[in-house]
Amino acid sequence: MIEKYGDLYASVFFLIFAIFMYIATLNFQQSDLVVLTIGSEFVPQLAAGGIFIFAFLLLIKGIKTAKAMNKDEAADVQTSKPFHKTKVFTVGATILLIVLYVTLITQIGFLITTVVYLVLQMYVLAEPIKRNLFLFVSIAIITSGSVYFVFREFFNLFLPSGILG
Amino acid sequence: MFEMVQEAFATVFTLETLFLIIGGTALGLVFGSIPGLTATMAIAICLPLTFGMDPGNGMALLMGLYIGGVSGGLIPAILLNIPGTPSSVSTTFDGYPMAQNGDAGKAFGFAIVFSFLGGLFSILILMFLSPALADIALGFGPFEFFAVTIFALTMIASLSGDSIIRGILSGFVGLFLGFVGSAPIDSYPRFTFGFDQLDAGFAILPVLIGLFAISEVLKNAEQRGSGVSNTKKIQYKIKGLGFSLAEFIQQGWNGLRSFVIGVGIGILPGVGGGTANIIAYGTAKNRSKYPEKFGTGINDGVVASEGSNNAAIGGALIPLIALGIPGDTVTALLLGGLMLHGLNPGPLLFEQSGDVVYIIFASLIIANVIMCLFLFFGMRMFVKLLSIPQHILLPIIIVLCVVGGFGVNNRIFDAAALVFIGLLGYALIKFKFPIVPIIIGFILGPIAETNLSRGLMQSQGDFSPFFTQPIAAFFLLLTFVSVGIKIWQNFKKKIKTDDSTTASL
Repeated sequence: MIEKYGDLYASVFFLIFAIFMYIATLNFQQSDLVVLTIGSEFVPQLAAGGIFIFAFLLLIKGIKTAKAMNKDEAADVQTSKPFHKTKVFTVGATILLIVLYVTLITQIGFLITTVVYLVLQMYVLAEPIKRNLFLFVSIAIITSGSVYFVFREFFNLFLPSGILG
Repeated sequence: MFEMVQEAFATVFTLETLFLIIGGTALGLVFGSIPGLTATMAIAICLPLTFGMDPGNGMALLMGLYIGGVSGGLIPAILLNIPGTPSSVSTTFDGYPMAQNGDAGKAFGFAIVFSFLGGLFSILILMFLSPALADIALGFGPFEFFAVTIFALTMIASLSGDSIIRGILSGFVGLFLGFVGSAPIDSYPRFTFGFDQLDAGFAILPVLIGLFAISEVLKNAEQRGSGVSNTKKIQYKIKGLGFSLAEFIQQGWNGLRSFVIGVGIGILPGVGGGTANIIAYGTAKNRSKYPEKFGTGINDGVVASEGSNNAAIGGALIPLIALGIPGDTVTALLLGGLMLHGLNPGPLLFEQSGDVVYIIFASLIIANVIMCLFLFFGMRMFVKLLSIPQHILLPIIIVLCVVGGFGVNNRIFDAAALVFIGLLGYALIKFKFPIVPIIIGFILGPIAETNLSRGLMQSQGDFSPFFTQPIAAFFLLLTFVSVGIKIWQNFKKKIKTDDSTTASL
């Protein structure tokens, strides 16, 4: 899908983005200083214009690519790749884990969240035959503990202690 | 200058600083040698460690990481045919065949020695050229800086891969990220969407770590099960330097040319070792009397690639130190590192913090020697590291990234920003947008805007000085020429492909 319609989706996204960006610049506060010859909205507006133009060029290119691919597909139906279920699962789960990790780290604390995150993330990334829960848990505890300790003692960086604090 | 160098060496030869350089180089080599981990990541993760150090020590650590990170890539390139870092892509072309032919030791010897010499050559150029360049740049006003920055921004075109349009749009994304926060002159908030935390804009560190570590990890996550197995039987032997004096002399000219290419490419903003090794390899092949032997495992290929990628280190540092403009992603991070320590990268750096600059030079030289020693004597250990599975490394990298993001301002907001930008970068990669232009736009955009505003204040709204001041005009002309050439090249390529498709029909 991305092969075929990628440029189309991206260009539409950027066209809408450029319009929103331009509208947002209209609400910027204006300076009363006379010395300023361009306001804070000048360059962002130029950039919004630039995005619009190049997104439009990409749209034209995207339409051409999609058309060309349609032709090819008519000749050869088997070009579409099989859907990678594991790939989507691995990436999706990884994203979810990272987002949860960052969200929960302040509430629950660095030590616990990191151990849980590391174990789950290793589990998700490992091939099923290489999943070794004992190893993962040991590595997670050692990593979490040593990172916390090293940053606290040597670099004066106090990571969130959460419910343990 | 020699006094400054002497003084810097005296500072660097203290136990603490030496330890930091040695540790940095070793860690850099580890990151460089493990495919998927890069010098950029190593520096991104270690930047927060430098918070508590004095600037000289912090920089010493980062220089070790830089040299080690670029050099470590040669190990998997030669043994496994996987470039450990983008800088070693063309090392695989001849290094791996050499290893297959039973010459892994010789390939290592050449790669290590020419990495060392290339690094040394470029550091010396850096030491002599950057003060002179900074001197010239001291006379630059806003018009000149604006023009130089605009020229640097056009480098986006050469980093865009196969589509300039996508590259430019990526550059605009970077510009947009750079707009977020206070406007450069009047400080009114822009695009903060009501988040107070965004008033100061996105910090450079979360943007860099997000783009280069988080999105990389996600990309690697896709390859679960389909990745190259690291458990191949690895064999090598190395005796002495691995090659004879006669063979070394044979490579003299090729080596020197590759060093010059490396430094030259390194200086250009936006391109670094990742491009230098490919161009140097191509040039060596084109200029060779036996181009057909390239790719079958000859010394010339390894020398060209490894000599140039290390030479790009000194090259990339020249515009960073003299002008405050980063030459590649690693120097972009170093720029962040300098700013974190309250140093002001640019022509004033020599005047305001000359000691730190010379510590940087001295650390580079020492790190270069240490890199060479580590690789000759510690090869066995680095080879072992190649067998650590990715599913254990990548999660640890993520944790270190989050800690790094948190450490910027001691708040979770920056870690969240880092994840957001990482996801954005991953989405763009999926839609085949290159991510390096984002960094260039993000870093150079605000510099260009600030100087544009300052220039216009100075000229009271008149745009003409940007075109009439000689240096500014020269750089703007250069900008037009470089853009023109790129458009022409693409046009030519398009005609060529159109011709070949018509011919094949």
